[in-house]
Amino acid sequence: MTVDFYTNNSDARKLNKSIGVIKKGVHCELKDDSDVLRPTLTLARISLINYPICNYMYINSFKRYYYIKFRALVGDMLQVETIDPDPLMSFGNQIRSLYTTIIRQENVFNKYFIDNELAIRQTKKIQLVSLGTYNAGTGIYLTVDGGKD
Amino acid sequence: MANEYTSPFFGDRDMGQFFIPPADTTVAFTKRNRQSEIKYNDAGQVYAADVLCTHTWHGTWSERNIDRPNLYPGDVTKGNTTIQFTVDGEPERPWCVLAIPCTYGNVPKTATQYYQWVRPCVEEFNDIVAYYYILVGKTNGASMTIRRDNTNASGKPIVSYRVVQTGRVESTETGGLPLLTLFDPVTMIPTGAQSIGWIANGFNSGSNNFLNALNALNNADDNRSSRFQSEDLSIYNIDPAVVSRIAILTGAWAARPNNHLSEMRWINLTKNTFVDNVTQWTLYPPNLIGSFIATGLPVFTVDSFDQMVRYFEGDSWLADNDAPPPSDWSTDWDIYIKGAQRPDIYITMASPKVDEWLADLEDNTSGLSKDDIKVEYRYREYALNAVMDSPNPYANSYTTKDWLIDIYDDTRVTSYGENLQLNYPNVNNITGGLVAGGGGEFSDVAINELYPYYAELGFRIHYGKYMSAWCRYKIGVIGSPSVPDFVKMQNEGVQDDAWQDDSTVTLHYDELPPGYNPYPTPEFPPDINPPPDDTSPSPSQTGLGLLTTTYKVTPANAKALGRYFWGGNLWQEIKALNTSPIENVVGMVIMPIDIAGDTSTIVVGNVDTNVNGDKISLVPLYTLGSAQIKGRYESFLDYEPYTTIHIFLPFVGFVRLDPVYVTGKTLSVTYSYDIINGLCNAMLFVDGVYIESHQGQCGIDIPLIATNRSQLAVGLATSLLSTGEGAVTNIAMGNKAGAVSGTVSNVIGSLGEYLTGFHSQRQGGYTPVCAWTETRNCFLVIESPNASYTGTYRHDKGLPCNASHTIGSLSGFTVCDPSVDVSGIVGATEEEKAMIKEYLTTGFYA
Repeated sequence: MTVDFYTNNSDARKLNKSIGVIKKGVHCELKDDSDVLRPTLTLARISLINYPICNYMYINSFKRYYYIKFRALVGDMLQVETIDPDPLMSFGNQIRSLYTTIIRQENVFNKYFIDNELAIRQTKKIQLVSLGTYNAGTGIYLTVDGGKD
Repeated sequence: MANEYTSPFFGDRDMGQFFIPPADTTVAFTKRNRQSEIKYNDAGQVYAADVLCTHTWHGTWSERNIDRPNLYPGDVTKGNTTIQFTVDGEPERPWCVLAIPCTYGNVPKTATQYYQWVRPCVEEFNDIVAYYYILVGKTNGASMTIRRDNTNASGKPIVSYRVVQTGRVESTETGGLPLLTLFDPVTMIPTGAQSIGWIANGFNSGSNNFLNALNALNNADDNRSSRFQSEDLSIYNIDPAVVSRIAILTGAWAARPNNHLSEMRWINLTKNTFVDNVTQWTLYPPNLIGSFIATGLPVFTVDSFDQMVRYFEGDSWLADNDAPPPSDWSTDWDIYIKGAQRPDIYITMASPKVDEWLADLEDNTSGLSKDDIKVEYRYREYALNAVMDSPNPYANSYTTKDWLIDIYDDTRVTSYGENLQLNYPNVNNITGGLVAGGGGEFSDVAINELYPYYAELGFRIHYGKYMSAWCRYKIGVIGSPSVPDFVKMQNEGVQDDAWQDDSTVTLHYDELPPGYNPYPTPEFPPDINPPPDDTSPSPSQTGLGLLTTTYKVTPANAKALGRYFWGGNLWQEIKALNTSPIENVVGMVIMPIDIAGDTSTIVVGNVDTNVNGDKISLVPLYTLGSAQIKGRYESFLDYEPYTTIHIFLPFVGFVRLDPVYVTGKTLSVTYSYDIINGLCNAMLFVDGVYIESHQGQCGIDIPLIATNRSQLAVGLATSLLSTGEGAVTNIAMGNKAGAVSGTVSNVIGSLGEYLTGFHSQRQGGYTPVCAWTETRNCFLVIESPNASYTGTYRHDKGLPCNASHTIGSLSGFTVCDPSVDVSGIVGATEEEKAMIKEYLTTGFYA
């Protein structure tokens, strides 16, 4: 099978990772006991000279991305061992089409929901806001019965 | 040759800001410390370290025929760098613009100067032309970043504006909405027309309309479309999830009568995405991309195309019978700065000649009003980078590490007669822009390295081609970015060098404009209906004058009244009516309000005392004041239980208010009174809507009818009546009032004391005397929590959303509800679905 090798520095939680191509279409052999989620491959070292900077691969046959590491074998061969599959990248388009309830979001939010994640100090800020000073003057008022106009 | 150029000036006024270079202009760069200097034939200078040379041709900007200097930030070295500009001399080009975005170190676009020159215009271009220049950019927080994603040979980014669309707007011959006419950039033959209604309206109608508008523009002009495509503008695919800001540079040019070129105006629009996923584009006042253009012509806003047209029409807009405008538009400006830290700034203006002219426009068939005369304000703020050796950044000891940054400028246009109020949070963008944004234009400047330095206010009035001098005033700013102090600087108000008139600028520190209400009552928000008119408070009659009469008396008249009470004639006249004359006095109270009345003699019962008092018929309301209550966080933290608000009402005490009703609104307090019983009622209004009231005892009774005193008085009076008029001059007080001894005249004397002093018989925890001696200030006590938001909080944790969205419409950190259904993901194993759900519900970056 052919495999595309990349270098990936993106956070594993990123749906759309920024990956740099090292080499595409590298011929590899799938070990017999491999499964689709954590395959183990072998390839000739000469076919992937820059393998030390590779940490990510895409197997077109499986339609999946994987985090990988290399192990040198005798006879100038390399073994590619899968650390984990990356289902976020592998099924990114389907994930992006999910319509669901979002609890927290970086850019789409409502500031008036109570945020229990927020650290609030016990201290408080006391702010005085003046509306003005009462200054309506003073008067002495005598009220009497009757009174003629 | 220089003499082939025509000045853009009109009349005999000299616009000193324009510089008209010859066709071949040598621009010398001199780097001095971290500031670089550009000199144009020694006629002017601007600091810069990066240059974008652009000229325009009938509204189409290009870099053709300009030998663009290959200078980028950091490339300028000490000494002189000479750049040769070759300006194309084709005669049909009406005008050119050289744009020089200034850059300081690695901080781009902190100031921009545009030098413009105008060439003779050919005959066919005699219409008024407005041009625009649309820039679209991503945003990283509060500031806008527009950059071409290229790098120079040194790997440093080339920073320049990304031109997405250019064109021009031409007025229609038949009136109505002007059309955006697109021209072939070579033949100048119109290739299509598009209503520019979208400029005014489209941005508020959702992102799709904006997209459609731009697409329509592209489709209308094949040349332009292909040019855009060729520029590899990936950002041109205006995805609302990506683009957060749009800037439009507008201006106007006309050949008539003398090649007028207006000032260019940045119109920034920012995207507001709401929870329901509705996107709107709205004006974004803080302008970080250099809106200050070095010309003296007026600012035209997006709404003022008519003004733009009128500007170039001379006096033709005047009706025949209108009085001609005055030649002198000099204006007297008063700046009031109230408070040193985070002050309120008020600017008032008056132009005597303009006022006189408006008054003379009796027929006014032009329909001219104050609203048509515009007042243009500019606020510009500078900051120092505080990475300096000196411990005092405000002493005149700048080191080579210092540089001045034009950190904020804003322009506002209001109508004549509308005073302007600013406050520091409005006009200052140092903390707001940098803390919130943490990137963009100031990404290379640490927040704590910026210190406010001074602010410059500028203002003038204008209508059509008439205007006052451009007046400026500098206000010093010291302190930290978060707690600035405004201090008076040495520079008094200065006028535009070229357009001096008799305008004056007066600065008032720690004063408010006379009679100025800093918090005008806003219009009712849509969700609050104003109270019906008949429930609005009005002066109270409170039954005054029906069976009783209330007089306001002076202390002297009260004493005179007392003497009359105890004189001989009263008893003769009154004993036929009552056995006790005091019974005719309902009460006497000292109230904290001065009420005007009609002066007349005081009549007790049916007896005229011949002592004057002011007869009260109406008890007015007293509006104490108002304040705008701003939420500190503009979030849930502004409400209970996190934030509590109390108000102290004079004569009432402290009252707790629910922040739900008052936060973000204007609270005002109005008092009503019962001057018979000494009560007051403090009425609270929120945005003009009456929400609650609180009663207090503000009047101090003069105890003429209270038990002890009235019984005493009754006893005295009864004795007086029973023993005959004037028979008694010495009566022992006896058992009823052991504390008082003396004579009737002693009693009168005591009354006089009551009238001149403050006494009360009332008991309780909050007596009127206590109230009178307490503060008369009405104030709010707002206790708000101190939340600890880190700079990356939103990016790390997001904020509560609680709304349904398609994940693909979001960007940034996202947490889905655990109910998210991943079962429909085709091809994923159960383990992968579990992994996906784990990511979605614990947080991922969309």
